[in-house]
Amino acid sequence: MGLSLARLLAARLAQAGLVALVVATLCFAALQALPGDLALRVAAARFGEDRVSAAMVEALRAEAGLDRPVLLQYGAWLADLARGRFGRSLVTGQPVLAEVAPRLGLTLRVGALGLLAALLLALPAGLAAGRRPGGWLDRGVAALAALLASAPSFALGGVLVVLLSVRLRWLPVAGDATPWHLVLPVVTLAAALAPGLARVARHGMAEAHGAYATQFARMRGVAPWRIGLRVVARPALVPVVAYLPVLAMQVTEGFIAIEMLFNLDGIGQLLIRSLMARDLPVVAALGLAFALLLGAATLLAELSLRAMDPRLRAGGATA
Amino acid sequence: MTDLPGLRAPILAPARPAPALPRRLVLAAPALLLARPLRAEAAVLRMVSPWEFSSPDPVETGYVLRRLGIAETLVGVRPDGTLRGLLAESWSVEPDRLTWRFRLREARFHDGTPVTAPLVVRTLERVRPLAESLSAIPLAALWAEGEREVVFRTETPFAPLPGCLTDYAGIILAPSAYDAEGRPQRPVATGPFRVTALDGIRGIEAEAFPEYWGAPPAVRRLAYSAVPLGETRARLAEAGEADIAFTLLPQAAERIQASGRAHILSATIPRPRMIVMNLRRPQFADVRVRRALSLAIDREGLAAAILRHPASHATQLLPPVLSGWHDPDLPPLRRDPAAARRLLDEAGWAPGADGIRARDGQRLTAAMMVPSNRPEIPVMAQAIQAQWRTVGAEITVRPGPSGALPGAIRDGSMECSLLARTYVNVPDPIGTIIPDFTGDRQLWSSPGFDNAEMLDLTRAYLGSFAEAERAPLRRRIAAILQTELPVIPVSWFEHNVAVSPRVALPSVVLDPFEQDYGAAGLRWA
Repeated sequence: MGLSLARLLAARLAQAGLVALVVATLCFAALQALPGDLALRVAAARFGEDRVSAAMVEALRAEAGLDRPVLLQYGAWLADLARGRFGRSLVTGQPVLAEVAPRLGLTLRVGALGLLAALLLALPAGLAAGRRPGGWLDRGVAALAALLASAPSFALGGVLVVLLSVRLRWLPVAGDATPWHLVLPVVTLAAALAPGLARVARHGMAEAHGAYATQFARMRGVAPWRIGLRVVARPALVPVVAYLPVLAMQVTEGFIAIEMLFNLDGIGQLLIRSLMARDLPVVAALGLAFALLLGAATLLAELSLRAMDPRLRAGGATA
Repeated sequence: MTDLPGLRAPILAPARPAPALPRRLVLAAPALLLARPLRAEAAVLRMVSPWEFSSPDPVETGYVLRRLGIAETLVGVRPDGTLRGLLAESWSVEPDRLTWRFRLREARFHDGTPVTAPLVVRTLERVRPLAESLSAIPLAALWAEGEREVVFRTETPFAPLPGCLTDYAGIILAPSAYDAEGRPQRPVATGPFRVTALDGIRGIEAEAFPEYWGAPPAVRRLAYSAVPLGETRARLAEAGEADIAFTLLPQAAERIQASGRAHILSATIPRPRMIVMNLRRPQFADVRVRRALSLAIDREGLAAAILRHPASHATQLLPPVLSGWHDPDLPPLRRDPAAARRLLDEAGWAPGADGIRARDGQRLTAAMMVPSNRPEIPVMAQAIQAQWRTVGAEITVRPGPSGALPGAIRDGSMECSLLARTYVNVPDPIGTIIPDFTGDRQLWSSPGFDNAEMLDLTRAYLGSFAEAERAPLRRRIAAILQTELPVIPVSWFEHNVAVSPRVALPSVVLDPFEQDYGAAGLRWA
C-alpha cells in the first residue's frame, strides 16, 4: 500500500502543478482577451471611473509594465509565479497574499460551517430515505430536495433575510461582526448543498440495503444495529465521500452569490472585484487557490475512499 | 478589526450590532451558545453606503474619509454650491491674478500634532500628479510662507483654483499617517471624527475628535459599513440595522418609504444620464438629427415608469441644484415626435420600406453601448430604442462593462451610449465641461464635438474672476449645450437615502456634490 500511496500522491501533486499552470495561463489569457483596455480598467478601479484621465491610464500602464509585449508580460509573470511571488495587487498596491489570506479565512469558515450544516441535514434524511425506497419518507425527502435544488441561493437567501431579519428581526441582515451574522449565510449555503448530498446518500443507502451482503447478514440473524453499522454503513457512505469534491465545487460557486448578498468580504467578493478591475495578480492567485482547494478536496476524498474500500487498495489502483 | 493603538483604545461595541433576539427563536438555538448577548448600542450612529475603503491613499479613497467627516481638504463646498473654508480659514488672489494665498486655521491632527503650511504643501505636491482636479491647475509654484500660509502661483489666470482644492485627493493627513517611504498607511487626519478601528475594507469606526477646530458633533461615535449591493443596503435600513443608508435604488426607496420603518430623503445630484454619440459618424454629425432624436425621447415617461421619480426628467444637461449653470430661461428639452420627423425629413433622412430612415445609402441605425453597472440604464436604453424607432431611427442595445466604453470612445468604435456622468468632480462643472466638450481626448463624452465658441468661452471663464463676468459665460455655455446637443440629456440623478427614526430628520442634509455625509451635523431624535 505504501508504494501505491506514494505513487498516488506523486501523481496528484504532478496533476496539481499542471492544473495550476493551466489555470494561471487561462487567467492571464482571459483577462487579456476581455474587451476594453486593461490599464484603463485598473485605473478606473483605483481612482474611480469618473476621475480617470488618459494621462493617468498611461502612467499606470507604464508603472505596471502593461505596455510590454503580451508574451513578455506572460513570461515574466510565470517566472514570478514559479518562484512563489504572487506580486502586488494592481489596484490597491497591497501584496496579493495579504489581500487573499484574510478573506480566504472568512470564506473557508462559512464554507466549512455550510458543509457541516448540509451534512447534518442531508445525511440523516438521505440515509433514512434510502432504507425504504419509494416509502413516504423517501418521497418527502425527494420533494424537499427538488424544491431546495430549484431555488437559487440568491433567491433563497433573500427570502430568509426578508422573513427572519426584516420582518421578525431575529437575525442580522448582513456582515460578519458576530457568530449571529453567519447563521443566514451558513443556512443558505447548506440549503444549496443539501439536496444533492441527500440524494447521493439515499442512493448509497438503498443500494447497500439491497446488497447480497446485507441480505446474507439478515439471513444469518445478525442484529439490525450491527448490520447497520458493520455491513451497510461503509458501502452506503462510499458514494457520499466520492461526492465531497463535487460539494467543494458547489461551495466555491455558492459563496460568490452568498458573500454578495450577505456582504461578506470573502474571496468570492474579491474575485468579482478583481475581475471587474482586471487585477491580474489577484485573479491568478484566486484561480490557483480555487484549483488547489478543489485538488485538495479530491485528494482527501480519494484517500478516504482507499481507506474505506479495500478493493481500491488491493490493486493499488488510483480510482 | 484592526485597532489603531496610536489613537486610542479600541471601542468594544460591534460596528453592526445584532438585533435583540427573542426567546422564541428556536431555529438559531445552537448559535445562542456561541454568541455573546448583544443589543443595539444607542450612542453609535450606523452609516451604510456602497463605498469601500480599499486603500489608505487619499488619491484612491479619500472621498470615503471626507464623506464621513474624518478628513478635510483646504476648501469645501456647501450644499448650495458656494465654497467654504475648511482647513483654510480664508484665501485671496493678488492683483496679478496669478498668486493665491490660503491662510490656514489653527487645527490639529487626530494624533495631536498641529497642521502647518509646509505639511500641506508636501501633501499637495505628493498627490497633485494623480489628482484629476489638482493636476488641472496650471501651477508654476507652490510654497509655504511661515507656518500658516500656503501660496500657489499659476502660469495663467485660473479662477477655479479654490474649487479645485476641494478634490478629495487633497485631504491633509498627519506625518504619522505615512510610512518611511512616504506612502499613506493610516487615516490620521483633521476632521470632526477620528478613526478608532478599521475592519478590512468595509468597516470604519470613529469617535468625535475633542480637539476639532469647529463645532463638536452631537453624535459622538459612528460605525460605517461599506455594502456594495444596493438590495442589502435597503434591507439593513428596513431591518433597523442602519441609521442612514445612502445610494438606494428607486424601487427599494419606494418600498422602505411604504414600510414606514425609515424615512426616505431624495436629492437631485449633478450626474445626468445622457446619450453620448460619435459625432464623426454620419448618423450623428448633423445637429438636426441630434435634435430630432432628443425630441423623440419621452423623458417624463422614463422618469416616472423606470426611475419612479417624475421630477428627475432632464430639461437641460445640468439640474437646478447647480444654480449657476442651470438656466431656467432656456427652452426645456421636450417630446415632440412630429417635430422630430420633420427635422429628419429636412436633414435628408427619408423613411425606407421598413420604416427606418436612410440618406445616401446610410441607414439611421447605431449600436448603443449600455454600461450594465447601473441597473436602470439597460431598461432605459430599451425604452429609448422603442421611442427612436417611432421616428425612423434604429438602435441595437448592447449591454456591457462600463470599462469598455472609454476605450471604444477613444478608438472611434463607439456609435452611441447611454451613461451617467458626474459634472461635479469639483464644485464647478467647468472642470468636466472642458475635457468633455473641448479638445479630443474624451473618455466619457461625445467625440467629434468641435465648437470654436465653446473653446473661447471656457478659456474666458477660466480667466474670469468676477461673478459679473462669469455668469453670462456660464449661460452661453449652457445654451450651446442645449442647442447643439453634443450629448442628449435624458434624466437627472436622484440620490435616495434612508434615515432611521433614531436620527432627527431635520438634521440630515443631503449634499448634491457628494462630498460630505453631514455626520458632524446629525442629531439624535
